[in-house]
Amino acid sequence: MTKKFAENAIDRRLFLKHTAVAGAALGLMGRGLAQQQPTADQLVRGKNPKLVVLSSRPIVMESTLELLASERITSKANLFIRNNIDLPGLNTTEPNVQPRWEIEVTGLVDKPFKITVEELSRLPQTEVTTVLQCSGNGRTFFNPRPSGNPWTYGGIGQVVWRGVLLKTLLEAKGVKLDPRARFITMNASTQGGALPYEKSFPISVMEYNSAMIALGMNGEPLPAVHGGPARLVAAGTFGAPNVKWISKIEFAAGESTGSEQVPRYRVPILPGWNLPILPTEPGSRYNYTLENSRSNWGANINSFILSPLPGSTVKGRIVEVRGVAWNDGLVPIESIEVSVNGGTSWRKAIIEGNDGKFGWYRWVSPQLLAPGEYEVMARATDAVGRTQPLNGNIWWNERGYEWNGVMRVKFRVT
Amino acid sequence: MKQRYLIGVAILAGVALYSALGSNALPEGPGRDLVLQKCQSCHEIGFVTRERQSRERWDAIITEMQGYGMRLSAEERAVILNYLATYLAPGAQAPAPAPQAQPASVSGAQVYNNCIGCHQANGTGIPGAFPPLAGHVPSILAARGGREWLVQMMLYGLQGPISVKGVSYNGIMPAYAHLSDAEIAAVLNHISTQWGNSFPSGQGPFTEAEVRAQRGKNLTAQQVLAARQQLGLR
Repeated sequence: MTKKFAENAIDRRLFLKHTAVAGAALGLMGRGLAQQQPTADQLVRGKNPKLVVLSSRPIVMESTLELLASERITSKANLFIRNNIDLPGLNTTEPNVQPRWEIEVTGLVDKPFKITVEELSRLPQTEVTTVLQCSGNGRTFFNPRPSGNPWTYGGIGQVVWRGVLLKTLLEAKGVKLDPRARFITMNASTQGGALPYEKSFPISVMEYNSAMIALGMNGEPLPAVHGGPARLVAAGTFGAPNVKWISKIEFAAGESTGSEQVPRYRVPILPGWNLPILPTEPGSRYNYTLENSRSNWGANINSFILSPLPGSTVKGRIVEVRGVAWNDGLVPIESIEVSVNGGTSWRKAIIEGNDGKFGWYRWVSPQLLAPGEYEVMARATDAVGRTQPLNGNIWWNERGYEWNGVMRVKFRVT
Repeated sequence: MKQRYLIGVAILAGVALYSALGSNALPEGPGRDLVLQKCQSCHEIGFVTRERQSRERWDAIITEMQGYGMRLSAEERAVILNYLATYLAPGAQAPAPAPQAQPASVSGAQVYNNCIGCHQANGTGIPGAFPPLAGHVPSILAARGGREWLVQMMLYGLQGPISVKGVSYNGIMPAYAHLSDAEIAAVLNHISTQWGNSFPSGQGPFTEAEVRAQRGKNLTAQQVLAARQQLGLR
């Protein structure tokens, strides 16, 4: 039977790698409210039960606007999770203490080497505050609905990473890059039979995005479920290539050709044209190649309204509309404009501060509002004029990545 | 004011919860069992049931999954594609909630159909990847606290290193708390009486009440692992 299964269902070798989980059972055939879906805290120890579970296997859960509004730095309890693979025993926000965890640095370098987490922890550490966001965040606002996890706004958080810059690491080991090296390809551990996960970054993230091997988050050891003991972090980039449980870093001339690099985590482009995403007919298919599309690397400019919350009732007449804005950190955010009349007129919000160039810009826009129903919109623009489309669906793509349409929040003033 | 905020948020959360739960039902139709068996080996079925895609897009998704290692014969592929393109097409409605409380109609074999992806039809599992149920369940039943533990394992899952008949496993058994008490009792009775397995003398079949008694404990998969170590299994 085992043999028959292996032949019929799945290549045996791959299958064994897929141990990840005992599949089976009636799956998640919830049948309405009477039946329970495991909550975030039941699936991952230490998570806030208010997180919305999108998948229990692999673990995917999103935060809420209310939770995001409640803290400046997103706590480990409230931070979203988009795991592509489950490493057995690591569904917890506790640290994954493995000082002898080894990371291989190889490829186009003069002296390939291996380094343990223990040795990394003794090298100079750098801290950087970044906005970590799943590139699928906002997917449900695309129409028609693309395939993939149904993220609303919660696939995001602002966290403080601490770790060793890749530049620092190479210098400390006296290792030189071959000039042909243009990409960094990273592999997650397959410990416990986890599925392989491989992603590439352009090598420029070492220069522009403080690319590091992170060992800490928010002043604590990196939580196991967020990639502990060690993950890659490049500030100002979408989450997918920030590989968790990192076991290998390879400098290469070309980017990975694995499924995680293409067709997944990409948007269409017209090569050589200055257009962030090539608009395609919503609902149409696109044959992704490395040439006719680009990877979800740098985060696109975006802003969220965190107060008032959607559907809430607030007291007039002075209403403070508040929120956050961010981009890839290459240039500063210059303005956040707010409209309460459907985009007929916009008023600049006050930028209260920001947590470094890769962090959130906090903004507030006091509005004088008579009792009634309102819809407020917010739009960020950076110093090179990058801004958000009023109709986010202009970027429709079949996997639903990089939504940054202007956010609209309906609320009532009494 | 704050209270009103909270009420608004609670309503939104409720709606989100309802749609999340409702989206997990897989409609009846030819090929449904095959979809359950093939897709759940690697990920939960919610990834499938919540989608509404065209035949062309489903075709591409199946190809992508084959790239990740899913093995399908041409016939199986056609059956799965037909099922998905028919029952999970754009605009297709989620199936109506099944009527509650009809324990008489729950068959353990039917529920077990969905465990087959990992534990296999003959209960042998896959050595090193998924532990066997054949020849193993009776020793759990015979252990002190074993019956309760089996229910807990179904409700809360199991995660971490275990050893069964001298073979090591380090995987994840997901929680199935969303199954009804009757379904969990039925599938436990099934695995306790198949493949030469039987209840130890003096023990009868699992009851819904036994399942209900373990609900609400909110154990983690790690706690279930710790409880397993207390059973004194060899």
